[in-house]
Amino acid sequence: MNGLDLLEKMENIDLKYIEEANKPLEKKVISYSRKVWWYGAGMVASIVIMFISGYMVILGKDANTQNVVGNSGYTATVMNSGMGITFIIMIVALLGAAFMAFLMIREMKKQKSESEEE
Amino acid sequence: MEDGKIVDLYLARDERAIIETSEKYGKALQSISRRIVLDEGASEECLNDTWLKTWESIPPHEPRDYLFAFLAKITRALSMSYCRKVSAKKRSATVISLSDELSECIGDADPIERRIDEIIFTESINRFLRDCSTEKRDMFVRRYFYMDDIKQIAKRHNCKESKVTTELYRLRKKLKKQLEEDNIM
Repeated sequence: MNGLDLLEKMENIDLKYIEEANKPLEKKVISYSRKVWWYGAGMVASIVIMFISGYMVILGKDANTQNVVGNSGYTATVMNSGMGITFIIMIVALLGAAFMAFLMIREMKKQKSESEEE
Repeated sequence: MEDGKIVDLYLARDERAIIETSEKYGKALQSISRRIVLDEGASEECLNDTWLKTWESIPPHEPRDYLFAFLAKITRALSMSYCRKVSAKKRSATVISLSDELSECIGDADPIERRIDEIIFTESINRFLRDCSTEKRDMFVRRYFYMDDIKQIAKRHNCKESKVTTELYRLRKKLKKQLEEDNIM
């Protein structure tokens, strides 16, 4: 027997499978688990914290003020923001958002491949 | 016209049955045949022979639920038969490539010592398909019965061609194992 014989013998496939393969495929709806929603909520929360802390950094709300007295007696107020706590919170929130996004995408891919296996 | 009514026309020996069948399924059946024989004239001949064979087969058969599948089987068998008669050089590239793929499912044993029992093979292949998921079964039947190319199957399943190729490779391996277990190959 060769491949051509086997190809010919495929005519023995049951009629119901032949008919089934002739119909258009139903589009699968994937429902994501609670995990994906939690990761998504975490990502949104991180983004919100990031924007709030970023806004505070820009406005200088976490700045340390310093009075500098010049030679002519003029006093200047310098705002020194530096690496204040708000800035650190902003960076952590950014990294947190990115990590949550990564977990969410990974979980969505995993669930999609599991539903395809079924 | 519904398949059930078309079958009723055949049973009543009304020639309108062939006209209705031709209008409803003629193009689809001819495309199956064309993929195998690769010749317009030959595919039309196979189609005409399909109408004759269908007329002779109904009755006793009454494929009310699977009329297209019934017709597709006849067309495919006639086209494969034509393909066998022509020289290997004239066979379509599709048939050659599909034969090469399925030759992976055949064991190394001497083919003279092995003989194929038609009923056992039928049971085996249908059991194999029954155990597959709907998606994988669809890919297998579209490839090896309808002879779709990889691109068409990927489009149908809305996935990459590489995924279809990988799935079909795994299915052939699984089929080979089953045929060996059933002592067919």
